[in-house]
Amino acid sequence: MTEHRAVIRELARRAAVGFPLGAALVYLVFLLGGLFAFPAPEGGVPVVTAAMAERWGNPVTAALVQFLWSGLLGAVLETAEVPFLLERGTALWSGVHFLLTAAVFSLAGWQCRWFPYRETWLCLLGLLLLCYLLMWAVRYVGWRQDVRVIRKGMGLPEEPEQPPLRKALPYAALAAGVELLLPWLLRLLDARDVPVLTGIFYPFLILPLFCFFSSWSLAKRCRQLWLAYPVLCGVLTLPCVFLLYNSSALFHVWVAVIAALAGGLLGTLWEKFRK
Amino acid sequence: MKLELHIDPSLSETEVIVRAPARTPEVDTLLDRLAAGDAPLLGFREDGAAVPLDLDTVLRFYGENKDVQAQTAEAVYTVRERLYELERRLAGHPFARVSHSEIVNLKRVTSLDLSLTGTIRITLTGGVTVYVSRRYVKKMKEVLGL
Repeated sequence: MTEHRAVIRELARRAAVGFPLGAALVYLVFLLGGLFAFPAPEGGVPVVTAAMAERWGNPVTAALVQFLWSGLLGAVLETAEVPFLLERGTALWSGVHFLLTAAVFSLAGWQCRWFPYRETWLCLLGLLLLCYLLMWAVRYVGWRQDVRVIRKGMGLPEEPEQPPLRKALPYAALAAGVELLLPWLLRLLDARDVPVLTGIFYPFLILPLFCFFSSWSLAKRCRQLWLAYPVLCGVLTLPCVFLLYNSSALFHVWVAVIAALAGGLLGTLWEKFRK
Repeated sequence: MKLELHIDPSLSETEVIVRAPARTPEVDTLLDRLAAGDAPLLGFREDGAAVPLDLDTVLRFYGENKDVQAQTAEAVYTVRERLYELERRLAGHPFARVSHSEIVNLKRVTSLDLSLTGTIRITLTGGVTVYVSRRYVKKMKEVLGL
């Protein structure tokens, strides 16, 4: 079987799996959202938005239309990894796939009235892009590891060691993204009455986990910076503390610093014992 | 694999019997190698002259225009074997299939790079470049015993 035919076959197989998954997931989100909504919705848990039910005349037609759109979205998302089966043009086809997914997602959201605000749609598109970048990063790290192992097996010289600051550059960029931009994006997605994302999820979950694991990873690669990186993490939280929150959110600084210090310390010890 | 040698003066020629619990790829490889014996691999020049190829000097075997070519630092020869036959015949030698159409001599690799788009490029002696198919990375690792 040629590569072309094998890819098309895989595309069809994954799309067939993704369609019911996508439809099921969207209805699951609606059901969970309805079950945990406060105050509880009147007349049972809705499976479509009120705006959509109004647009299509009755909830049954609306649910059917939503089923088709969410299934299509699931089918497209499930095929996201197919470009990696290609030997040439993986990056190009992955980019094309992202554009297609973004288009289907936007159309589905528009038809099903999923986005109450334009900003919500933009934020979710941003998260979709982030997922793609993460998928690429994970694949790339795997390929790099393969190349490193093969190089070692062949007795070829290893890659020249990068200076510590250069190694830290991607970590600093990622920290800037998470600490300077993410809170603004979460604020756009947040509920207007109780800001759960920026008030609870960000400072108590996202920020400490990010600081801990990024610091761990950096300390493993470059031990010299394990003390400097927590300082950077702490400093980067300051602009959002004063621009987005207020001085009562100054604890973000300590959350970032302590989590990064713990991650850095463990990363350093891990590497030391491993060697 | 257990190896035994029996000297029997009553035999008129050398006899090899392979005993195995099942027919595995390893057994097939062994049979192929025994069948090929020490017969050298022949490369054919453009004028049709056959030259025994020294595997150590071969950089790569590759498919081109329905033919299989063997490239050394000095010349390119046509070989009669198909790539899959060569792959079997070269088992045990430092050769690895790196894509649908190429087998490279791992002893002649001078560098190995990964591009940002995930393409793995091998440079062989003399600056010959070859692209590795990601599907064959596992095979390369197996050849290298990794």
